[in-house]
Amino acid sequence: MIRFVPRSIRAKLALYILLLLGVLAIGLLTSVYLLARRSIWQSFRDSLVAEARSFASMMEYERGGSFDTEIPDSLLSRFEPVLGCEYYRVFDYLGRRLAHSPSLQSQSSLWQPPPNWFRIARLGDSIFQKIRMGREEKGLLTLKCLPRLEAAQQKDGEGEEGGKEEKVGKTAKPLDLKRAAIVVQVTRSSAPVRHLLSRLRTILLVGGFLTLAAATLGSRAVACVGLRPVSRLASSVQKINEDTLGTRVPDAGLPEELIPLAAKTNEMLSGLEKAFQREKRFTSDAAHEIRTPLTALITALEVALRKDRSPQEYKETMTECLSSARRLKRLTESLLFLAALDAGKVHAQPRPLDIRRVLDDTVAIYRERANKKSLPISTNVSVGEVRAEPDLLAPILNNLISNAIEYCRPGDSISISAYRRDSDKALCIEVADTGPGIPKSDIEKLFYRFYRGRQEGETGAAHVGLGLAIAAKAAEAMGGRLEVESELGKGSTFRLVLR
Amino acid sequence: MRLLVIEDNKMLARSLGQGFQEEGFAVDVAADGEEGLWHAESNSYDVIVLDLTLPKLDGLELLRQVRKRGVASHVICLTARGATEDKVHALNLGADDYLAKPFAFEELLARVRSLCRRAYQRKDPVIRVADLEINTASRTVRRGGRVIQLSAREYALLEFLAFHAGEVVTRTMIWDHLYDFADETASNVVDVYVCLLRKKIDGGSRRPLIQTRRGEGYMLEDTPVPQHAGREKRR
Repeated sequence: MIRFVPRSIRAKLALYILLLLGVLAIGLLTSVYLLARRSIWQSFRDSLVAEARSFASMMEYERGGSFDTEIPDSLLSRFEPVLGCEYYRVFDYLGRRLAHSPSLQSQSSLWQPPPNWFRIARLGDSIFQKIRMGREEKGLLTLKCLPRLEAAQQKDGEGEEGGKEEKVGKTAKPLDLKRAAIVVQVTRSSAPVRHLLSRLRTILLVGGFLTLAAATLGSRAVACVGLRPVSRLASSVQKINEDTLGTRVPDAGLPEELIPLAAKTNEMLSGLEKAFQREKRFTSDAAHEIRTPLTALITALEVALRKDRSPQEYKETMTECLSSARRLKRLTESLLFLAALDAGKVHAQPRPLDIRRVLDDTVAIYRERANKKSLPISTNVSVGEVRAEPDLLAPILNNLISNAIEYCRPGDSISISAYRRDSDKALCIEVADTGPGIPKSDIEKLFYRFYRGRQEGETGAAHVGLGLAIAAKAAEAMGGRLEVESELGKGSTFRLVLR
Repeated sequence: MRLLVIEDNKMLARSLGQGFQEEGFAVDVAADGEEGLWHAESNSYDVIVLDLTLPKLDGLELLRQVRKRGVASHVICLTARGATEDKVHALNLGADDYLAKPFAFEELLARVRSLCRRAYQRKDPVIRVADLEINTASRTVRRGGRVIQLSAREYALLEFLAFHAGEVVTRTMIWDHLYDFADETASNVVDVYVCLLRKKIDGGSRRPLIQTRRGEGYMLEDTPVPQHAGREKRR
């Protein structure tokens, strides 16, 4: 399929401007031509009328009702058959021919006004016709007017023809103006008019084409200038790749139509950059978390193997290596689970769960650790069966409870409750402690991957800072979310809200 | 050679400490940035092995402060992050070398030894004093072509004396560079080791190389003896 409308905005804009200019130019030139043609024909007709009148003035109407023709040679020379071959004819009011050009003797086919026109036409009426005579086109004017009246009569009248009618009527000896009226026919070649019109046409056509050509270039230039901010924006956006996400599209000097686009682009870039940095940070953190225990493992084994050692020394090294390997295993599992959650590969398949049993079972695992720090754990369940995915619920509960135990000081207490919230009937499972609490500024960071609330201490080896990130993701996968409330020195509450 | 290992992973720190100790280095271990900075400033270490990811004080920040305070120890950085910027940044802050985790202990050892040689402005791994030849790379000692077996401690002492060949080395210097805080040996331990070393190096030789400067310390030097001078002339 042929595309009539180009794809590029610039070309489209140029085309539309060109079309508009083209239509305007054609309209303007056409009307100029039509007006000019009309006025040229009009003046041609006027000149014929003037000539006809001069013929009429050569005719003298005598009191007796006859006409005296005194046409000077100078006027007649134009009507010689040899020169120009023009014609004239004069009729009286009855259509009788009074005079005619010599050339008409051979050419008598000149148009004759119908007989009734002689009567009904008023004085001064004229008919203009274009007629063909042989190969030539001529203008033929037929005019009804008064001839020159006898000298005596003229003294009484003031002007001529039209004005005379009433005056004549008042004179004692009335002159029958009806009988005095004559009809003059004159021809003249319209070739000069045609020639003039054709020249005008040529000029206008050439001018029109030149205008259109200029408009083509002009419209392109206008489109280019108009679209310059767009191409500037495009080129600055084009320069941005994954390595230069830090750059922003400059919105200074942009037209206001493009500012929202630039702003949106910048906003998107900021988001992308942040996501990119988080991703980079995560990769870097993951590398650190994997390589460090791996290095420890390798170095311990290498050093141990450098010389012969006692069984006791080997045993110590192996114990150490085993703990490092276990840490790596935990980390690997966490990362893989997180990756699966990220990829959306963990699908919640809710099953009816007795939430009281689930909580009791989970608490049982941690009872010993809690007892060691003398932390009482209480459970308070006010809902029966709920629908949830146990494989997603377990990591969340494990993480929340083990965090509470880890961060609480001896003497604090932990309470776990499950209930339906009054406000929106959502199921809430809550792990609240009276521990040291979390600073407001750190709450958001809790869910960052590899973020550790506290620097690695005695128990630090046990976790790497993925627990809450996993818990939050798992909650999301279940269609819920994790809420945190905390006050420094008073304790923290982590709440899993399931819809 | 005295070494400071700043590493927060307990197991790695312990293994590195043990490995270096068994190679005759005096090793101190710091578990976090603040402790590391304190050690680095209060003792003169030949080489500091610095992990860049540290609790309390970041490795790069520690490096910056250590250099700002004019600590001249050579620093080799360890990092598990693969980012090139980290390496460049560390080197720009005054680190002398760089090793990415996981590494082979042998490589770290070789790099640390190379930095030790550099600390004493030596490029040639073989130090020669008269007919005594100490290869600091393979850690072998020969005297007149005969291989001398030394313990790690003895070797470290000899190497230290050799790096300072021709200069008097005080007991304090030896103590500072060869013994770590974990050593709770008697104060005459230096004299005991010098005595042991002298037996192995100079025992049965007519040209004793380890000299005692009364009241000052020790010196490894080729003393011109009459026969020696005569031989030189004949050549």
